Amino acid sequence: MKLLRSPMVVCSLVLIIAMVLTFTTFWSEKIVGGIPGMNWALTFLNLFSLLIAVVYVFWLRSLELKKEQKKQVLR
Amino acid sequence: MGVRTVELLMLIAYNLALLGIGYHYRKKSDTQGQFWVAERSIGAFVNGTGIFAAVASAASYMGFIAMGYVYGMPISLVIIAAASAGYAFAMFGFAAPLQRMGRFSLADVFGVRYGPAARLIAATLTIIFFFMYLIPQLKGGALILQMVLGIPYTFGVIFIGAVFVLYVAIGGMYAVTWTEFIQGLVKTFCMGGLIIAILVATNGPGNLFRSAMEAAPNFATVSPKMPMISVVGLFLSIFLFMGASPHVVQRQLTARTPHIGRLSFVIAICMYAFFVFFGYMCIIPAGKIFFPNLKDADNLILYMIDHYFDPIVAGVMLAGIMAAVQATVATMLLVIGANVANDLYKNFINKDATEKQTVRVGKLACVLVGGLATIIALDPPGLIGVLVSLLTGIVGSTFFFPLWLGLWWRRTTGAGSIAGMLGGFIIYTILHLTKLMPLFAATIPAAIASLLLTVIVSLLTEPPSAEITRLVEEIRDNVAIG
Repeated sequence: MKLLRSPMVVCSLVLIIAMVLTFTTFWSEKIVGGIPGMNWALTFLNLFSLLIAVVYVFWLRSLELKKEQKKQVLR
Repeated sequence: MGVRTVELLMLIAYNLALLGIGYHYRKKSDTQGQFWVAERSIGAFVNGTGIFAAVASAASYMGFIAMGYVYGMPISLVIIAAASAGYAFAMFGFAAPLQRMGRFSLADVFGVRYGPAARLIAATLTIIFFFMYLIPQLKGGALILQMVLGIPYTFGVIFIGAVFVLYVAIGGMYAVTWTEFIQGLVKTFCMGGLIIAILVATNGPGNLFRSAMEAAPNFATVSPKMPMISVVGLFLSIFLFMGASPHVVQRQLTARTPHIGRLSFVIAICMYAFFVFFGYMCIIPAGKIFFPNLKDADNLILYMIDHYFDPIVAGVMLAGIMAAVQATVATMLLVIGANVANDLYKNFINKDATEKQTVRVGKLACVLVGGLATIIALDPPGLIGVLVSLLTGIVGSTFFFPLWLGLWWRRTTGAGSIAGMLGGFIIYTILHLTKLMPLFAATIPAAIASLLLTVIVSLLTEPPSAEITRLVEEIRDNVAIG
């Protein structure tokens, strides 16, 4: 269970789901803002990848710092 | 002063600056740690800009734009969305373990993790792939010089070849890092400038898309010539390439700490996600409006620069395009040098070689391989984007899963990694050469086969030694997996 809540597994799964959702829009013929929706879906994936990367880095950093603090307290 | 003279002077000044950086770092290229990985001293912003510069090649600035122009804008956007997602995934899986492993190249990582046979195969395949990769990149650079400045193609290839070979061989990774940092900034300026110019000229994105739809109603849909399986294959090719390509790995090995390694990827994603992605969203529709029915779509960005900017700004922008060529070939050449010297010469030919001898062999390899690629590039190959995408597919299919599993799964064995590498490589090559699958689609079965072969053969063979098991436990991101 602990593994399932870990940053790597959560972020990887969320990213994979975003990729799958993006490709499902390729069959949609909706026009949004003057161009087909698939272009916006790719825009979403592009920016979402950046967001998830930022979340991962700082989530992991906070866990690393917590771990270091615990070590210091134990010392 | 004529238009061409100004641009020529800007490009000469830019190339002299690159050579100057190479010369400046000549005294920091004596040891293996200095020459291959800049003593693992690089910070996040410089390293991230370097990762972006190394990967955003002539294909990103010319070939992939041409693909979007020919096959529909979503094809270009798929490539960059795959790059952003691939970088994110690479950050989860590769950045910290590779930094902690402290090696000199991807083949070196394989050598330590899987043994000499895996090192030999990884080094040989890397040299072959990257040698093939150098050629279309040189072509892209020479085309710019020919088209914009009227310099003969042959002279252009020799000029670009001489500059990058010299600064790599003289200054090593320090020179490559700082030239890539400048190149990355110039490249973002180039794309950023084009985005602003196009949006100002067309009165915003709404008008731009509307006018493009009038000029070419299907510009924002995928062409029927590109089946869906090819789109998925293209996405997967780029996605896998972003983390496991030996030149991206080489850049990750230069990060100062695991956290900086991860942050570097965030910087690289920012540059791709904002500048290249939105650059494509502006350049391709503007191309359909202002340059309909282009026969040489590879040159669309050059026509755009010529269309929008005065000579001085255009000179900086063209330096950006040349930077796209040089940054990629420079890192690749350095990787080839590291594989020849550290992985083949030091590990198989002369095990007693001193550090100085090994670095000297690496420098010689850079000069010889760079020179040979320059000679071959004199007879140019076809559409840059297609060629690079095919190579991209083979690199990801070969290295991604053996590397990823090796860094995280203790049970992965040397035999498993070799089966994964060769399986992915052979299946991709057969499917591509026999044209059994549509364009780009070969990556799908090749990558799946590589994953399955690595896992199955690992489970069927003797587990790795206790020493290797301990190594995996030490290098992997234990905090990241709870």
